[in-house]
Amino acid sequence: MLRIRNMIFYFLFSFWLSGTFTKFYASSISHDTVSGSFYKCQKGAMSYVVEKPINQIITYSYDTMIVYYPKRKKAFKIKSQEDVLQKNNSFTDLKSYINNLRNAGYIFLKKQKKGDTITSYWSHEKQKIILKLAYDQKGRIYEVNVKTEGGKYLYTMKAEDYITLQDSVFFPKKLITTTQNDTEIFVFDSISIVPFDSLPSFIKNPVIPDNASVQLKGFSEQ
Amino acid sequence: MKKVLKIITGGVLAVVLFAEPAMLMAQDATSAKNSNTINAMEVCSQAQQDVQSDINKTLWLAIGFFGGILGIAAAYIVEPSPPASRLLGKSPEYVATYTDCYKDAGKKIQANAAIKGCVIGALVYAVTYGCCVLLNVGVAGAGAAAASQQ
Repeated sequence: MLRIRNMIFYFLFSFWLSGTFTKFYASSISHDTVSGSFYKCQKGAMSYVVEKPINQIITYSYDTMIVYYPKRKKAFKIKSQEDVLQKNNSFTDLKSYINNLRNAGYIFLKKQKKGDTITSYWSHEKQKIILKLAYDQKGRIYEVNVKTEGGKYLYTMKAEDYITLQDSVFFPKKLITTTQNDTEIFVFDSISIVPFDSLPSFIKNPVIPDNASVQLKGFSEQ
Repeated sequence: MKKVLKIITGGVLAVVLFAEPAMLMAQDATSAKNSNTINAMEVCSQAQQDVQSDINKTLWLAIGFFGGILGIAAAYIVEPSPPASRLLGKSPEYVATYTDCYKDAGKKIQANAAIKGCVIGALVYAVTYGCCVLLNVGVAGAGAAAASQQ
C-alpha cells in the first residue's frame, strides 16, 4: 500500500533527473574508478546503476538501501537511516535541503551576503555541530561545510559547474566531498529530466526478483 | 629404439596439446576466483577507519550523559549504515564484509561514547548529590546550633 502511495507521489508531484556518472578518489589509488548511470527523484535519494567495474544497482526504498547484482542474482537489503548530512542527497533543491536541516533539528543561526553568495550558518544543539551552507541567489548550493563546535572538521561538500535544466532546476557537473580520510569526486554528464515511464524497472519499483539470494543487514532474520 | 622415441614424443605432444588448454582454463578460473576474493582484513580495517570519522561521538556522549543505561542500550541497538557511495562498484563479498565491519565497529564506538557519557553523568550526579547533602547537613547543623544558643 505504502509502495503504491510512494509511486503515485513520485509520478505526480516530482520529476526525475538522469545522467551518467564517474566516481573516483583524489588521494587514494587503491579504489577503482566507478561509472554508470544515476537516477534522482527531485526530492529523493540518488539511485545508481553501475556498469563498471561490476554490474550493480543501488537504490532506496523507505529506510532500506538495496544493493542488487542482476548478473550474479545477489542482493543486500541494508537498513539505512537517511541522514540529512549524507552528502549528495538533496543538494539539488535548496528548499528541500533547508527543510531537511530543520526537520533534523538544526537551528538557523545567521545569514551573511557577500556579492552573489549567501552563507547561512546552522547549529545542532544535540550533535554539537556547526553547518555552513553557501548558495547563490538562484538557490544553487555551492558548499556545505560541517564542523563540530570544538572546531573539528567533519566534511566539506563542494558542487561545481552547474547546468540549468529548467527554470530553477539545476544540477552540478562535479561534486567533491572531502572527509578526514579521503576526497571523493563525482563527475556527472548527459544530465536530463526524464519521464517516470522511461526509468529502468528496478528504479521505478525496487523489488528484488524471487530467484535472487538476499542478505539482510541490520534487519532481524525472519 | 625409434619406436620408443616415437611413443615418448607422441605422449609428450599429447600431454602438451591436451593439458595446456586445461591448464589455461584452470589458470583462468584461478584468476577469476582471485578477482572475486577480497582481503577481508583490509576491507574491515577500511570500514573501521571510515566509521571512525562518520560517527558523531559527541552525540553519543550526550545520549549516554542524559539517557544513562537507556542511552548505552540505544548505542548497542542503533546500527550505523555505510553511505551508498562507499559501496558503489564493489563486489558482493566486499559489500557483505564492509557492511558487517562498519556496523560492528560503529556500534562499539557509539557504545564507548555512551558509556563515557553515562559515567560522566553519574559523576556529575554524585558530586551534585554530595554537595546537596553537605549543604543540608551544614544548614541543619547551623539550625541546630542556633536553636541550642536560644
